[in-house]
Amino acid sequence: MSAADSTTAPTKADIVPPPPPSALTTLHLMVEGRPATVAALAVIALFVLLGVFAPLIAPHDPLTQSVLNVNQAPSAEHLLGTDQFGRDLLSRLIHGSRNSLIFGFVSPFLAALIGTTLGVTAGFFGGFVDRVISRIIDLLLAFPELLLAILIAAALGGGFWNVVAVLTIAYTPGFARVARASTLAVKEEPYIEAAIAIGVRRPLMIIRHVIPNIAAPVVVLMALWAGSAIRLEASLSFLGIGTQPPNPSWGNIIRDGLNNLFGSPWPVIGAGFLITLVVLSFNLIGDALRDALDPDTKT
Amino acid sequence: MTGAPLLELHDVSIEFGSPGRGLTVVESVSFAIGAGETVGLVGESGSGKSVTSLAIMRLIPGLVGRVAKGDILFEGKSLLALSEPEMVDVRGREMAMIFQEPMSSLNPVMSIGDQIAEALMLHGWSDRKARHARAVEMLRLVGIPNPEGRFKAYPHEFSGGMRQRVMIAMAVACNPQLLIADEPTTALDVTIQAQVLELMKKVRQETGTAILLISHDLGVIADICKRVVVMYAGRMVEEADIASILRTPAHPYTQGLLKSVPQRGSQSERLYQIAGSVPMAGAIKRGCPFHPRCPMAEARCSDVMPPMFRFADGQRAACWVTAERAGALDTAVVA
Repeated sequence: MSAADSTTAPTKADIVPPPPPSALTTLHLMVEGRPATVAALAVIALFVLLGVFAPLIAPHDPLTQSVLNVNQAPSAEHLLGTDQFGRDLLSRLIHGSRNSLIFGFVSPFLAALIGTTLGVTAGFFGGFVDRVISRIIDLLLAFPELLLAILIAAALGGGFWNVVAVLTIAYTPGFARVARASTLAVKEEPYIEAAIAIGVRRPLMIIRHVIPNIAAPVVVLMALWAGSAIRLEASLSFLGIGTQPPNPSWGNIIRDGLNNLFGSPWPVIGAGFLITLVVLSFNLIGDALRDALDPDTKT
Repeated sequence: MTGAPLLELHDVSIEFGSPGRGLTVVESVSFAIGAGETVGLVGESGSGKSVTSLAIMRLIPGLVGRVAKGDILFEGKSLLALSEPEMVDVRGREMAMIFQEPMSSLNPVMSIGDQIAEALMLHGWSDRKARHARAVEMLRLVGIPNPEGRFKAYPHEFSGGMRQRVMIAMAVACNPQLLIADEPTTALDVTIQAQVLELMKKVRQETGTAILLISHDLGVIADICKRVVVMYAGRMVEEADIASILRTPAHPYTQGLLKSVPQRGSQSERLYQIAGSVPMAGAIKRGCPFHPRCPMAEARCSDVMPPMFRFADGQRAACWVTAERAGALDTAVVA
């Protein structure tokens, strides 16, 4: 037997999990045999386009009021009718998708960034650092997201960045938890010890060996919570502490429409339908992403 | 052995648990490895051989255990006195380690080439192209076919034996003076085990690195080591060159170990086994740790731990009975 012989015979050592697939492979795994995921991706893509090109697509200015045209039913001029100030509902919904999607993408992303940093730090260093970070996270997790968001929004006031901050703070603890738990598991892997044995220092260890190995659950969580963040933003706007009128957001369109629900149900139905559709789509994408990245949890 | 030894362990004791009140899992181990020498460390599971190797690399977390007594010298300098940042420089460059589980000792999300290149980058190879070239050269040295093409391959694309080759490539990439191999072939099939041993011989020849090979398998040790240290229950019981160990084992434990190796064409139906089982670490506080299982045990064995006695040909063993028979009782090595 010479050393040059290739050792391609399978051994029991072949049970190593493969690395997460590339972006393209992931996409392929997500849509293969799952028409619902294709539809969900199409819906999100559509709303991203609507949001980006809102001023070009919307037939009317979403803020122009018209006393003569209040509470109109759908017509050729106003496809979905008008609201109580005579503003074109379709245009408001299209512009509203912009706000909703920005919150849906930006807040979970920022929360993932901050939460992962905290969680990995806590999990990797352990001891006192872990105790301090974990207690803060427990404290934040003790409040329901919406209650926490209302508390912070009440303290900070409304406005775009405040709402982003509110949503980010609300979602950070969840990411920190997941990142910490994954880090604790990865830390015990033999390849971490092997990396120490070749002289890898701690910061490099975290960046190159820990974070890439815990990325999959964090990404899945991000997709699942994008829908949740949109819902939470709608809730805040509905309560009047999210996006401030007259700027349209799906949440405050519902609230405005509620005053005249029986006279003109279109705003509530339209915005409610869009929220449901987008949240459902994000959830479907999140599920598909989880199945693609982590085959073990496939149900 | 020529000149000062590369690595010296002086009366090393390793303790787990809280300082001073913990469990001593390794006691009074002393041996040395010369530059370019291959030394085997044999013992059953739980004999303290892996812990000893981790202590040399200083990979035992301080909260878990520590070297309570003795000193570990590398090129004459104490490793225990180094600060952690200084130790980080030593790891990988001066001495490297390969582990028992080739299946999980490679980071699954990094390509193997990048992992070898990382080891180089950590130890002063600042030029990316040079790192790449060196990594490919290492992959070729360890017999990975098409090393250029496999640079970007991930660990799961390799079999266990191939992964162990990659581990070896990674370990020797920086030309360490000492390579510690902790049961490198235990998890592999027998045929692949032979290939990996061949490879380690080849690496030793081409790089001149010294090797400390840890194994429970005397056959593996006999294949590539010149000298052997036998450990039992945290104690060193015998040290000799491989020929003496195989021909005239001086310690009853070593004798039992050799007798329990299956022999082709042997007449007896049952394989010899050493009576009893390995004691828990630190369970035997008085006398020789082997005395409850030893066929030759005498009264003094359960009373006083024998020191290492010098036998013929530089053989050393810690046994009252065999030392007396060999007339070596007055040669006790004072540690």
